[in-house]
Amino acid sequence: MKRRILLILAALAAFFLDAFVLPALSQNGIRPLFTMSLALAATAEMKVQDGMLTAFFGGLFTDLFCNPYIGFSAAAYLTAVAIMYGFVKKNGQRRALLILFALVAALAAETMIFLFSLAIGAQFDAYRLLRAALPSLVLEALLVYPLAAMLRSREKGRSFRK
Amino acid sequence: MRKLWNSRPMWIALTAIVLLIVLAAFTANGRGTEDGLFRTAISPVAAFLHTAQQKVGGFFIRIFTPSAVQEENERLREAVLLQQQQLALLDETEKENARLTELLNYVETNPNLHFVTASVIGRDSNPYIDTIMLNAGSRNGVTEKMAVITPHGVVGRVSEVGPNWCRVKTMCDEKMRISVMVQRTRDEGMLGGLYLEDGERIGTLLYYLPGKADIRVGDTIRTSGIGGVFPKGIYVGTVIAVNEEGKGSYDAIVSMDIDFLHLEEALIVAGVDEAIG
Repeated sequence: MKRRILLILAALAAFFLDAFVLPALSQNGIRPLFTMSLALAATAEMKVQDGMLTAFFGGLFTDLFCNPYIGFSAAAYLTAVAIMYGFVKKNGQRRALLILFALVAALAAETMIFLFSLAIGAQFDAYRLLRAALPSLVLEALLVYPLAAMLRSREKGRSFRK
Repeated sequence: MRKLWNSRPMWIALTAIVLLIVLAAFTANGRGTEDGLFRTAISPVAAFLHTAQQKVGGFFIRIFTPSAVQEENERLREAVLLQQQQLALLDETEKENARLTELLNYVETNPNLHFVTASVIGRDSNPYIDTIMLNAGSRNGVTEKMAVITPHGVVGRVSEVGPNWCRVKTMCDEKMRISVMVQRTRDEGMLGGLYLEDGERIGTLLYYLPGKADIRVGDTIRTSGIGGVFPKGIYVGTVIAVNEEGKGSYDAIVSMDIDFLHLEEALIVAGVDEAIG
């Protein structure tokens, strides 16, 4: 239970970073979704339930305070977690492939967010979108590695398989 | 792959994703909680977070890009100051332009008079300002007792002259007297001395009108030309009160249009062309 509460607090902290700090530091709209990276790292290094919990609460905080609709960020982050879970379940914890797995999962989540935004009438400049979204995706995937390493050291080698 | 689809967490995740998408679609259409109690309940928190976002974001911007932001701020501040100075200068130039245009028009409509244009460079600290200094002197052909006027009326008479300056005794001086006439009736009199009420200057006194002179409120007073200092016909002021009760020795009170406290330019009458006049 304590571990779950800590994860929710971590999701809250990640949301704060996403909402307050990273926008101020972004250049040309390029900024990673820290919450998603944390959820992916938790999925890879802890239990899938931990990743889901982080994704759900992190996404929910984002939607509640930053978006005009509730639940979509949470759904997108959960999608990324599900894909990451599939990769890790099938291929094991191959750390060399961790960033690649994270990249695919983040791409799926970002695509989902893009499609939903399109569906509710948002308009995009394709060039600017790609110029900002693709580097953001790479940053999100790269962030997963140090976050996973950090969680790994906390878990002391414990994985979802055990 | 089959094993993956059979796993409970995967099904929980998929169910949650579907439910959340439905919820998102529901709220995105503005039907669900968006306008409902839930948003209302969290709005104070959201407002707080928004404020925090502005402050925290600004803090991090300052931390990570201090020089760039400071330089930008400094540049913008300087630009704003420069703009303000330019605006003030433009405003001042416009006002000066209006005043000088008025003087020029007056000069053009009085071709028989020769003027020296001068700016006010000093005043008495006396609140009633009985003398002012102008930036024209003997080098400009200014001599003592020359008349000083503006399009709004008589200012006074040159009382002292330097090489590049002169002092003018204005109509506010208690001892200043000029010969005037009522434009409508041509009755002549003497104007001078202040009419005060509660210490405030209301107008200038008009004396020595003929006994049966017909003078009314609103009559225009002009210089009569007697005495040779002030050319004939210069506008002086308007009658604002007639002394019908006979209190005091004056006949009427004349209001002068000139704002002596804010006078900035004046015309010194350097000569009169008698052939035209």
